[in-house]
Amino acid sequence: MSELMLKLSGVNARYGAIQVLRDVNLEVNKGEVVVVLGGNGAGKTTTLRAICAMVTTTGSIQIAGTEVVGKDTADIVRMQVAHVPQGRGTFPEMSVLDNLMVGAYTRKDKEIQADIDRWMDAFPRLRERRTQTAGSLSGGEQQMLAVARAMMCRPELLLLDEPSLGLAPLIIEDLFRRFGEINRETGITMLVVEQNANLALEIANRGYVLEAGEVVLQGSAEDLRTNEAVREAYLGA
Amino acid sequence: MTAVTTKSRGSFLTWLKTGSGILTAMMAVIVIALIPAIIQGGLKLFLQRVFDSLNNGAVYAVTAIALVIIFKATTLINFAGANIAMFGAYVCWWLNTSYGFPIWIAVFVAMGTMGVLGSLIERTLIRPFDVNDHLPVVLITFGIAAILEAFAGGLWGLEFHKFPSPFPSDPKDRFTIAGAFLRYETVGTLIVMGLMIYGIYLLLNKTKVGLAFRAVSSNVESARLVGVRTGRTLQFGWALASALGVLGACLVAKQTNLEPAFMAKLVIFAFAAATLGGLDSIGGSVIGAFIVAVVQSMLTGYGQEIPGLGWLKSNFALVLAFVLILVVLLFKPAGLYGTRRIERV
Amino acid sequence: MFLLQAGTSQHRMYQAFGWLCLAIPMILAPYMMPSFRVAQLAQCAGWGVFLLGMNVCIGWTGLLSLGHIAFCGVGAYTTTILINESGWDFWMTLPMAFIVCFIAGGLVGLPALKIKGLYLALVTFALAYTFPILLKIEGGGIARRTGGDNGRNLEDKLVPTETIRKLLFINGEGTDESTRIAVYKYVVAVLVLLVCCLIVRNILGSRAGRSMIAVRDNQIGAAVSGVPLNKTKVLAFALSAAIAGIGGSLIAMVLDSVGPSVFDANYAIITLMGLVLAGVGTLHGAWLGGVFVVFLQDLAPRAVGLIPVFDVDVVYARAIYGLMLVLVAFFMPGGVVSFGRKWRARVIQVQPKVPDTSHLPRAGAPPVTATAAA
Ligand SMILES: Nc1ncnc2c1ncn2[C@@H]1O[C@H](COP(=O)(O)OP(=O)(O)OP(=O)(O)O)[C@@H](O)[C@H]1O
Ligand SMILES: [Mg+2]
Repeated sequence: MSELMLKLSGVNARYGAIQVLRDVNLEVNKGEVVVVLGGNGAGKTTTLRAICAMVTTTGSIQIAGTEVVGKDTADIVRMQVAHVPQGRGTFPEMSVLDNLMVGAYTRKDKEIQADIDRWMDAFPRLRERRTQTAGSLSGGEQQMLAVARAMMCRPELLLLDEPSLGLAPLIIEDLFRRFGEINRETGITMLVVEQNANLALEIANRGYVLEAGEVVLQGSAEDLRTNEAVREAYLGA
Repeated sequence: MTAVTTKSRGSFLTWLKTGSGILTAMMAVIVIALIPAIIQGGLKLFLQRVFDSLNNGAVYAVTAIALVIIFKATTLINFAGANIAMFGAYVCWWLNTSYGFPIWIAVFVAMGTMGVLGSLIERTLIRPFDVNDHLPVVLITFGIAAILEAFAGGLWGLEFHKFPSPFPSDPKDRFTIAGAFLRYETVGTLIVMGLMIYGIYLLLNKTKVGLAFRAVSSNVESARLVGVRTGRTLQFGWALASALGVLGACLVAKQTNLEPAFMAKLVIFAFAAATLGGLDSIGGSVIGAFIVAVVQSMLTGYGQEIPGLGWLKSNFALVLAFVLILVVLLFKPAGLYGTRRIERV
Repeated sequence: MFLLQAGTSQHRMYQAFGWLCLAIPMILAPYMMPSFRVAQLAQCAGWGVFLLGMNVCIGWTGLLSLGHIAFCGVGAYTTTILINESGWDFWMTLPMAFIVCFIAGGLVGLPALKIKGLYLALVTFALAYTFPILLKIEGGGIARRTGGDNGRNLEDKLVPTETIRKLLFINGEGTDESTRIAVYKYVVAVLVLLVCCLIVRNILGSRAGRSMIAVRDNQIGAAVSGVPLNKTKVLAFALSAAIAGIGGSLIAMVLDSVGPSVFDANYAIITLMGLVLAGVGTLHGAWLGGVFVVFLQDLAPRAVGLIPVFDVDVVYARAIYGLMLVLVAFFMPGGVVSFGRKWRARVIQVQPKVPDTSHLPRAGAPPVTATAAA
């Protein structure tokens, strides 16, 4: 349980001249669900992008003990890292089936078809719409597709960026229940960025609070839920 | 009752605004405009004009597809495409006439050579720039075009060269249909175009590199996030487009003869075809290519043979192609079958 | 390194010095050069006006158009035809060229601006490609009026009157008639260029100009803050076409002739290169670009002659030109103007005026510049 899946130490990230992350330290153990909270523009998305080398980064990021700063995104993904970007990031002109196929792009084994079936079982809506283009799906369906696509590469580390964005409350609950299930069934490690702190803290083991690009608070899900500041800022209590 | 009629009229109007609707309307306009000419010139002549247009249509289509492939992958336009194709045709001709390569082998070698050159251009001259910074790309692609033109002229001379035909091209090699002649060359060009389109379809839809290509054209960021090496994929797109361009040039060089500007003169029709059909739609640009070719062939043909229309020189087709582009843009900025992505925000 | 405070007398002197450095050679050049060079300088000014127009579109509104050369041609032919067939005075044709090109620009801009990015470049390039062919259409008397392939000579050339000769000091014995005419044309072209620069500068400072720049920098942001995107773009396009047309009129006047080969796709790219090399989106970029357009073409073939490998084959002049395009994109994307500014910044720095905030309550640390001002 104490084996480290992801370790960020002293990470700085910038878009051109704008520095967004300042000395971020963050750890995720294998099999854990860790949530990142923070206001708009706090740098949550940027943290996930830094892990995938999608933004200029300095400092150290280790995935399962391997240093990845300076590596290419494509190589990081090949270390079984899947990233569901904010705003879903599906391929709108491609069919649902093709979206799932692309998800398995890095795989060479013969079980891709079996995995497609498996995730279509998990999200039956996707099976119904498998020949439809992703762009024509509803927001919730696209989110399911994005998650299923990410799972297609059989990740060991799943990065989820605001999966609840723009979804109806019932669907969000369902989605988070699924995340919990997926985590329990596959033992996959998850780093979830979420505005909906209540739900996220329910499935999470631990959490970090980011403000203006810096980690200002961290602790177990229980601690965060009872923390005054967090309650005020993110739990609406 | 009335509700039903309004609904059907409404749906007719909606249909008219779709790509197919505009296409049909355009065909109708062309045909109606041609009725007097057909009556005067007879059906045989008309059929001959149609046959004459097929060859050009296929060539425009191949050239337009080369344009579309790069645009789809990168939203860039390769203004050097025509001259890459031209240079490839020279390489093909040179291998054939100086080294005795069989014509088709020479075509494939030339395609391969220019494919490699295309991918090198992408890697060294295009990739260093931000894709949203368009000015450098315009300068660089026009620069490459000028360099290739200079070297074609410098290495092989500015004079016209006869290009060997890839198909049986004796004057007798032709079918006769209702009195009009359909040359084997034309049929061959059409077949090659058909095979090529089918090949592209297979490549894009049945192979892994095709999957990556489609992913990159749909959403670059996400493509990177699923592990696609986007740089290599773009290089592949440039290589493919360059090779296809060479094929188009080799198909048309027999009629135009080789000279350093022969493709640059022709590519404007491919631009028109792609704009008409939709710059990110392969099927659309093929349709656009044949419309442009038919209109061009009718204008030139009837211009020569019907008194009073003598001023309809072939050049006028170019002007008409441009007007056609503007009209289509006015009503359907993305082209007949393009997606709305290419319209302005 | 010198530090200058904006608004001080040193700063004003520095500015005046800068303008003198520009003005003195401009005033002296025509009197010190052979007449063909003066004529070339007049051409530079003509292309400068054209590039100013192109800059309005490409540089300040961010619309990558390659078709402005066609509007330049429309302006040139408008002037020629009005002078030759209707006996107009050259000066009177300028407003007419402006109006005609404004309308033409609007007509092309309305559909063309529905698309963006390089797609727009493609369609406008098609315009540049089509224009020379348009001139040769025989129907409707077009080819007769434009002179088709051969182009046309201006039948009523611009000749200085006695008073103007006196004013310009070209009435003496020392100069021959061709020099006098060249000098006069140069003065006319430069004056028009100056007026156009002033107009554009004022427009840029106005509400319309700010809308244009907002559209260039952040289209969505501009739309959100209430800039009418479509209107701004079409107006900017039409305006830039109109200025380009004036440039065309000047070029026709300087050359005393028009022809399809001056307004073709090739020139569309040469002028674009001139503009980029000089500086896109700057006022100085326009006239400097004009200088490049005229003289680079002169120099490229000679440069080939200097490289022994190519055996002085003129064919390779085009390769040099292509190489130049590539090099400009790689090494001079901001052009000479931004290059010059960078270097100037190392030597002289001008500090903006500190707004008088003494009546406001002080918050936090005083501005850094306040200490330097003391
Ligand atoms: N491509 C970019 N270029 C420049 N600045 C950027 C870019 N992307 C993000 N930023 C800036 O970085 C900061 C952090 O952005 P980030 O997207 O990481 O925030 P976030 O915590 O995910 O916010 P949200 O909850 O709104 O998604 C913001 O101030 C934003 O303006
Ligand atoms: Mg975010």
